[in-house]
Amino acid sequence: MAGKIKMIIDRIVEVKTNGVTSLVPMTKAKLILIGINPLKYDETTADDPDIIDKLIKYAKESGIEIASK
Amino acid sequence: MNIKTVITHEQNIEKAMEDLKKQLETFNPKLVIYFASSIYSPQELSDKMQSGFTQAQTFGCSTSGELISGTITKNSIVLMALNDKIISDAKIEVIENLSELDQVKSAFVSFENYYKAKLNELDLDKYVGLILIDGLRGKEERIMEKIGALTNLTFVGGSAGDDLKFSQTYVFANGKSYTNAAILILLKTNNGFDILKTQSFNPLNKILKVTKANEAKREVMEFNNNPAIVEYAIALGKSTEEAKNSFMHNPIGLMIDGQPYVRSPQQAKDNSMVFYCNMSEGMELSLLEGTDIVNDTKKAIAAKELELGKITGIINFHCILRTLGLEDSNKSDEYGKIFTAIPTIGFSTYGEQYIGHMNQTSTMLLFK
Repeated sequence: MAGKIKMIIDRIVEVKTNGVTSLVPMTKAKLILIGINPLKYDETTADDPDIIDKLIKYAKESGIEIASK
Repeated sequence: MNIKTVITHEQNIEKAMEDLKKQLETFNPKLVIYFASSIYSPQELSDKMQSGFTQAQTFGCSTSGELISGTITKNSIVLMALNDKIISDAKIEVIENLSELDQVKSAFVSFENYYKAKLNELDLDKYVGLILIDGLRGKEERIMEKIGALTNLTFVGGSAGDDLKFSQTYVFANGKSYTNAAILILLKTNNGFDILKTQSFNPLNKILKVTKANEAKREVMEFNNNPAIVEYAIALGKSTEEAKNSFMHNPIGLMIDGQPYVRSPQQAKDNSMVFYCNMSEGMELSLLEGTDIVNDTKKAIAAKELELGKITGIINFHCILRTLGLEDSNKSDEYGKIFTAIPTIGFSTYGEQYIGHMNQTSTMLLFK
């Protein structure tokens, strides 16, 4: 399976910035600082369970629900 | 004048307080921020500071050197007093155990209750957070990650020091002192604020990818699938022994939007490297080369003054490694003088916080 990492990153950025584009760089910077560079992932990136777990944990701390599929 | 900065070198706390209050004259502070050398008894200092300024909220931390407009110094207390023209409100929360991350969430619930608004409803241009945190527990990354997850508000700050004794650091709030703790302060400014993060490094065209690390210990065992110190030395073009003497001039940086978030090596441990910041496996970092701290900082401040029109006051979280570098190059006075015309206090930190945790920067809160 592929593309889930990008899907979760996009969801985190979408919810955290709530349409305020000036918040996008800072939100992405926070992800880079925890070891997940959004630029490294696209729809074809294989689903790495460790990265997905890390993102889901971050999303949960941010109060963001991630759909299981 | 709405911000006043004062300093004392009196070592007796009673006399130090008298000296500070005398210099403040009739100034009526709403908020008092102070940074103090570890020569002062933390509890006595915090207690006397609060009882000395009963009308204000007081907070601060221990240091490894202090900074005030025009001067870098040691063995002193520097204090910034701000009145209600600058700060319309402030709420202080203490995280009393850095291992209990739920306390960060509780602090943010308290901020919401105090300001009677959800965090995401607060004006991001007026509200700014400060963090002062124990500099010897290695918990900065997790606390900043938690803060970053909970809010879009800007938090900036520094890790407390202890004059390079590496024994115990303290944060102070409202008459008490704490260790293994952090204080979070959510300020409502009247005129807004800005952040300046400056570091004096250029990225070299050498990438080190973390392939084996122990994040909790801030230890990297392997870069590029080779022993960390060996790969670092190869990137520098030096022997491993020579490379161990290059840590301060050649740290590594996580590049974000063209700016390095510096990770400074602390020591080589066998073939591993221990840093002052953690790194995750998979992170790609650039080898950095030091440039001139004084010139770079001058330019950065001048650019901000041009952009903002006026800077009313600065709190400067200034890495101890920069302080040591300035001492080595005999440029401490020159650095201090950059801030002569702007009410400024700061301290030599064991790390700086802005978005995350980092090293070898001057990270500053600028009051407009």
